[in-house]
Amino acid sequence: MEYYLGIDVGSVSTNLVLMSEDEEVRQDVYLRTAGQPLRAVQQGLLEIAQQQDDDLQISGVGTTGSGREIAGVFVGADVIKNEITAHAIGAIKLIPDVRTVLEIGGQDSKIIILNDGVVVDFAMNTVCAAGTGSFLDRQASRLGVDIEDFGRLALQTDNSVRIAGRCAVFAESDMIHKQQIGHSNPAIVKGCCDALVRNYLNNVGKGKDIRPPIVFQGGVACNEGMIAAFEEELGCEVFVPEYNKVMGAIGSALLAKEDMQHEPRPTSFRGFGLHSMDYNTDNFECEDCPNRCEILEIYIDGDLAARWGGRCDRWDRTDTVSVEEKAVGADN
Amino acid sequence: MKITFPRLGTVHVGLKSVLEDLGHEVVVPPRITEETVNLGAKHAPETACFPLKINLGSFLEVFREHPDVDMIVMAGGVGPCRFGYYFRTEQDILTDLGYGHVNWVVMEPPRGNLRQSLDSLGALNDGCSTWQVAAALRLGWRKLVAMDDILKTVHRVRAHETQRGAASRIFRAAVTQMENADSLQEVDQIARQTLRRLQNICREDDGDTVRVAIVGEIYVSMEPGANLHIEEALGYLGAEIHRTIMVTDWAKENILLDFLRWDSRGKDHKEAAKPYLNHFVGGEGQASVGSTVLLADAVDGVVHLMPFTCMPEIVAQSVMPQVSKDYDVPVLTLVFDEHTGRAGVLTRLEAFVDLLRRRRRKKGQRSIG
Repeated sequence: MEYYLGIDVGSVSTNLVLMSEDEEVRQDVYLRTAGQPLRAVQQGLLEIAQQQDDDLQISGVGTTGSGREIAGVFVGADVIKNEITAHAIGAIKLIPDVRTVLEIGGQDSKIIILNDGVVVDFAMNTVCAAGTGSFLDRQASRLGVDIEDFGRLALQTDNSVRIAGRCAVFAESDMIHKQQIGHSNPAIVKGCCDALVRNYLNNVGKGKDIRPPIVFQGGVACNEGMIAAFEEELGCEVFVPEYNKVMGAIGSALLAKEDMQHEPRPTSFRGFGLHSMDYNTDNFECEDCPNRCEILEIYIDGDLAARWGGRCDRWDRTDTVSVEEKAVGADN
Repeated sequence: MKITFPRLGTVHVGLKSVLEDLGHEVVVPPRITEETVNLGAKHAPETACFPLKINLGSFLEVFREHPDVDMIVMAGGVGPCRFGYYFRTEQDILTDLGYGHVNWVVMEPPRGNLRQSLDSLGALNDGCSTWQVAAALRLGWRKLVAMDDILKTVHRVRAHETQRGAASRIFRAAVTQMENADSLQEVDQIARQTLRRLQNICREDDGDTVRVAIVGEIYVSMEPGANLHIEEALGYLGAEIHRTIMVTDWAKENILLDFLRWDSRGKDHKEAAKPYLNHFVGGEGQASVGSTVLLADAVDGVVHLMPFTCMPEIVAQSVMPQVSKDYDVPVLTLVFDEHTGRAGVLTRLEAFVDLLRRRRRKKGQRSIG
C-alpha cells in the first residue's frame, strides 16, 4: 500500500496526516507549533514513525499553512500549496457538494465559497485577528477555564451578554467590564461566541453568498459555543468534520496524491529519519538587484539543504554557488 | 535648476528625458523599497494615503543624497480624491523638515485651471525655443510609449518564461538603456531588440494560462514598489496580466488630452460602470468598476488594488461583489499600506490563481462534455 503525507504548519498548531492511497486517514497528529515550526514537524514525523511499520512507503508529501514554505523545503515536499486550496480540497473530500467552508484557525479566519466542487470565492481576515483561536485561547486562560471546556460553558445558559466584538482589545475590556458588573461566566462566554460569529460574518463573510451545506473546520470548530452561535446566526446546520483540526493536512495529502498521479515521479521526501537530524537556518540579503530579497537557507546535519525566498531563481539551486562564493557574488 | 519628481512605474524614463532636454539637471529618485516606505511613513500623517507616504519617503531619499535639489515637479488633481492635496501636505512636511527652499511646480489638470497649467509649463522652460520644447516632448513621449509596449509584453511573457526572473532582468536592462537613449531611432531600436529578447525566453503556451486583469488606484497599480511586486508574483504563478491603466493612458487623460476635453477611455468605462456607480467618485473608482464589467469576458479574474483609506476605491470595492456576481468573474481586492505583509498577499494571490485555474479547467470540461 502506498501512502501520502500531508503537513499543515499553522501559527498555533502543526498537523500531520498519513493518508492511504484510497484516501483513508491512517494516522493524524495534532501538535502545538510553539514558535518552532520545524521542531513541531520533527515531532510529528517521530510520532508517525513510532506507530507505523518501518517499511512504510511514502509516495508523495504536501505542505500547507503559513509555514508551508519552510516545512516544504525541510521535508522535501512534492507540493507546497496555500491553505485556502488545501482546506477546500479537504472539505470537498468530506462533503462533495459542500457550498460553504467556515475555517477559523489560530491567527486567521477564512471563508471559502464553492460551487460544483470548485472554489468560486474566498476571503481571509484582513487587518485584525479578533475572533480567531489565539483570542479565544487568551480569554479562556484569563477566565481560568481550559480551552477545551470554554465552549461548553456557553451552552450552560440561554442568556447572552452583548460583547463588543469588532476589535480584540475592545472585546477584552468589554468582557472584563461585564465581569465586574456581575454577569456570570457562562453568559459572558456565550456573549463572546456570539460577538465573534457576528464579527466573522460581517467582516470575513461580508458580501459572500453563504449557502448550505456548511462545513466548519479549523481548531475553533472544536468549540461547541462557536458551533451553536453559527447555527443560530445562519439558521441551518453546520457540519464539523471528524478531523476538523487537521483538514488542511488532509487537503494537502490529497493535493500531493493528485499531483503525483498527474505527473508520476519519485517523491522528494527526505524520509522519517529527519526527526532526529540537526538543522539550523540562516539568512542573508541578496544584493544582486534592487529587489534586495531576503534569502533563507536551511542546513540539515551541516549540509545546505535548500534556499528560498528570492523573487528570481538565482539562489534556488544549492549545488551551484557555495556560501563562501555568496559574499563574492554580492560584491560583483 | 536641479529637479526631482515622484517616482511611479516607468514615468521617470520619459520625464527625465524631457527635463534634461530642456536644460535641467535631473535627479531620479531611487527605486521604491521598504526603506522608502518606512521613511515616508515616519514623517507622514498616519491616515494619509499610502502613495503620499511613498512620495514623501522618496523625496527624503533624494535630499539625503542631493541636498542641492531645488525643484520638485509633480502632478496635481481636482475632485474628491485626496491626490489634489498631496502637494500641499508634502510641501508643508518637507518645509518643517528643513527643505523650505524647494520650488514646487505642480501640473494641475487643465480642466481645473488652464491658466495655472500653462504657467507651470512655462516655469519649466528656461529659454528653449518652441521647436526644442516640441522635440523634447516628442522624445520623452516616444520613450513612455515604448516602455508601455515592453511592459505589456513582459506582463504576458512572464507567465511562460523558462527561467524565473528572466523577463524582469530584460525589462530592467531596457529601462536603463531607454533612460540613456537620445534619439527617436535609438528608442525604436531598443524597443525592437527588447521585444525580440522577450519572445526568445518563453516556452509555448500550453493552453492552461490564466488571465488576470489588474484594476484599481493608479499609484499602487503602476508602481511595483507600492504593491509588493504583485505583477511579478502573478507572473511566477503562471498568470498573464492585463493591466487596465498604463503610464501613457494616465498621462493622456490627465495632462494631454484633457486640454481637448477628450476622455476616450473614460467614456466607455463610465458607461459600463453606470448600473453600479453612476457618477464620478474621484480617482479611478468608477473606472475600476467599469473595467471589471468590460473585461469580464476577456479574463479569468480581476485583481483590484487600492491603498488603505482610498475613498474612491472603497466606493468601488463596495459594489464589486455585485459586479462579480452579475458577470460571473471572480474579483480579489487587495489593500496596501506600510503594514501590508508580503506573505499574506502571496497566500491570497496563490489561492486566487488556483481558484481561476480550477474554474477554467472545469469550464473547459463542461464545454467539451
